[in-house]
Amino acid sequence: MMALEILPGLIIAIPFLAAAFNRIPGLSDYRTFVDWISIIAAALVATLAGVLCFYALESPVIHWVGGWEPREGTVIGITLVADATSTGFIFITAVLTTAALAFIYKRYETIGSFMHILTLIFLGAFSGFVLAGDLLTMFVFLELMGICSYILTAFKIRDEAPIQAGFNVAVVATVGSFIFLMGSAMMYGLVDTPNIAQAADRLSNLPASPALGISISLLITGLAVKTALFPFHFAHADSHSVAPAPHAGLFGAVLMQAGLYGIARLSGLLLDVPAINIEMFPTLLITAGVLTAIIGAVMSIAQNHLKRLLAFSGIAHIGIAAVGVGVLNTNGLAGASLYVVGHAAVKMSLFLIAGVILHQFSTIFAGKLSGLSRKSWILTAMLVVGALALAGVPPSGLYGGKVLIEEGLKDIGLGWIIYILYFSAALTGAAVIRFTVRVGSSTTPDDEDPVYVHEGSKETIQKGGFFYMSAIPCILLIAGVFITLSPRVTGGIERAAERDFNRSAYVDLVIFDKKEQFVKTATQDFWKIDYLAKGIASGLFAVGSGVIFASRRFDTSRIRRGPLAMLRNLHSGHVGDYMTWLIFGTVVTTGWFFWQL
Amino acid sequence: MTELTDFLPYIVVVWLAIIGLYGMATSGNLFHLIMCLCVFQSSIWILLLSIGYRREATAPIFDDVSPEVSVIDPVMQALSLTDIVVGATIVAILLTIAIQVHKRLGTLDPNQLNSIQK
Repeated sequence: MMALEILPGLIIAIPFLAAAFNRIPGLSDYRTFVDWISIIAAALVATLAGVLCFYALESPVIHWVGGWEPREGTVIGITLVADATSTGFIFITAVLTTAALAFIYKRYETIGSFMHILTLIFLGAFSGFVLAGDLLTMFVFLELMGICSYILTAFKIRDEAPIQAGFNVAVVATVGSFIFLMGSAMMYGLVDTPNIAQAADRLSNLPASPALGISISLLITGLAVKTALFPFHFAHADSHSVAPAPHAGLFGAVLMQAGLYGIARLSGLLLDVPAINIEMFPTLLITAGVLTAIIGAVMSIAQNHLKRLLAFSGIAHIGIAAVGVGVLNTNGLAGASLYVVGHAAVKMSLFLIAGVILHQFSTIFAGKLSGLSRKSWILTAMLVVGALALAGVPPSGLYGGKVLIEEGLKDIGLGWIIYILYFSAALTGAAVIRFTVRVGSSTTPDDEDPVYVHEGSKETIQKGGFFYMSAIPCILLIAGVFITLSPRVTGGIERAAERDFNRSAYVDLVIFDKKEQFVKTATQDFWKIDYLAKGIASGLFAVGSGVIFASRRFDTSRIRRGPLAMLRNLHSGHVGDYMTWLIFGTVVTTGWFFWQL
Repeated sequence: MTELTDFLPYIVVVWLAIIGLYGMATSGNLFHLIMCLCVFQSSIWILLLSIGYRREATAPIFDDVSPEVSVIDPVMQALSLTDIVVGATIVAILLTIAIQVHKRLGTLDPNQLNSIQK
């Protein structure tokens, strides 16, 4: 048992040590060495997190840093809480990071070791954020994770779009973390502890006060900025569309989801207290989630640039997962978890496919690329499968997640919202289908290229390695498509959601070291004809509308008037506009909490 | 009088946060924008320190005072130091990018940056 308790610490330490190792002068010149150290470190984290997840499903593991355990019910140390949800999430991220590093191995030649180091620090910071049991540790790792993402966004520093997007996302997301810090400082002032479990315990005796409302709303707003919920999604869309393909994949698959994980954790633990009217929170988060899903999906189908298309598609899907979290019951949270897992695999693989296309044909802009189906049937097939998976065709993880979210929505009497979610998901699938059809035809379109991202200058990119590079997204895609078929995975996620977001179980676990046994009796039946019909219908809708919108009459880059053009103009790339949206969102959230207090 | 002095830091916090955010939203120069971010950030330092402050208390160093003496909360002090480090990192990154923007595009005005596709 002792050995298990050091694993959470090791999971955080290994990537940082490997990153430091890669900077040893002289050694870092040997590129193969750097690659192998990074890949082995990430794979090791994946293994350890997998082992820990396996055990944590039975009983969660608590690690007190430096052995400072609670004394008489008072927390005095820093804790890492490794339960099934957090370790499972780290497992997914470590697997995707391994895939990204394996992809970098063949894709880039003369980048030195910086990209590897940033990727490893990202993994370490991610693990720290997810495991952290107190608000201040969460802030530190949240911002460290953010810093890696800003630098990776602006990695191609000689091009115009990456530096602009890097600046925007650095300003907006930093303000987001500072808002989170303000919230946690006020929470500390109220309950005299940064520890989340202890805070949850003490909040139950606290009267309602304006300070409490502001504190909670700032915590949630700060995390929502990181989650890229509307109206905070603008800078994230820019960032994901210009970052190097493997990192854009990581951002779209797990970075935003880390913020959502934080919201799920804190709303389960801190909101369920007498001083706060819990009823209001689902309305707020579900509204934000639905708006994010719709805007992301519409913007996604209006793009001709594959990475930008996928960036908006990621934002649409985080909105859908946010609805699952906003439901605040076991089904919704389990649905959000399964949705995030399935989406992570599919989105990462689509971004890597974008990387492969870029590698082979030097462009991922639909107006420039042509005859893809003739040049490479395997990439075309993978794009189509990815599009269907995004649309939620069974048995992909996104289908299973939506089934659970639907059950959760029905429990609180909002079952109709699921149709909006199916529609948004189908639109993101249609966007990928539209791209595939447009680049599949052999005629060369003559559109002007409005994209100013010059993807990696020629000399930094290796030649060859096509099959190696396509194999990585292929494996991920297969995992994402068939995940719902495994009852072990879905059952485990449902059990984890029931225990890990339960307030009293968490408090007992962390402060009093009592492990409650949960036996989830009813597991969801994913194969009812009702669900299957919805999933297949959205797949058909995606294919149909994708093919229709692929025709030149619907060339969205030529639309200059109307609602779509207005929506596009909102995504202006201007940092001041984005900040105005951020202020607007913060005021709305804080005002909402005040109104409902 | 005591109530006012207890409350005063929070007024400063709100004021600095508002002008910092306003400056970031309306700035016409990237360097100015970074300075506004610093102003916003200093509001957080004041918030942290005023939450940790205890009246009639001394610094949390138990070298020459007895452990029973009431001290200022060291957690908030440590956190403001951490936040200063985070802020320095962010400002360094932002300045690097701003210099690069100036090199590439010859301007620091965010209104003239339009390299991102809508």
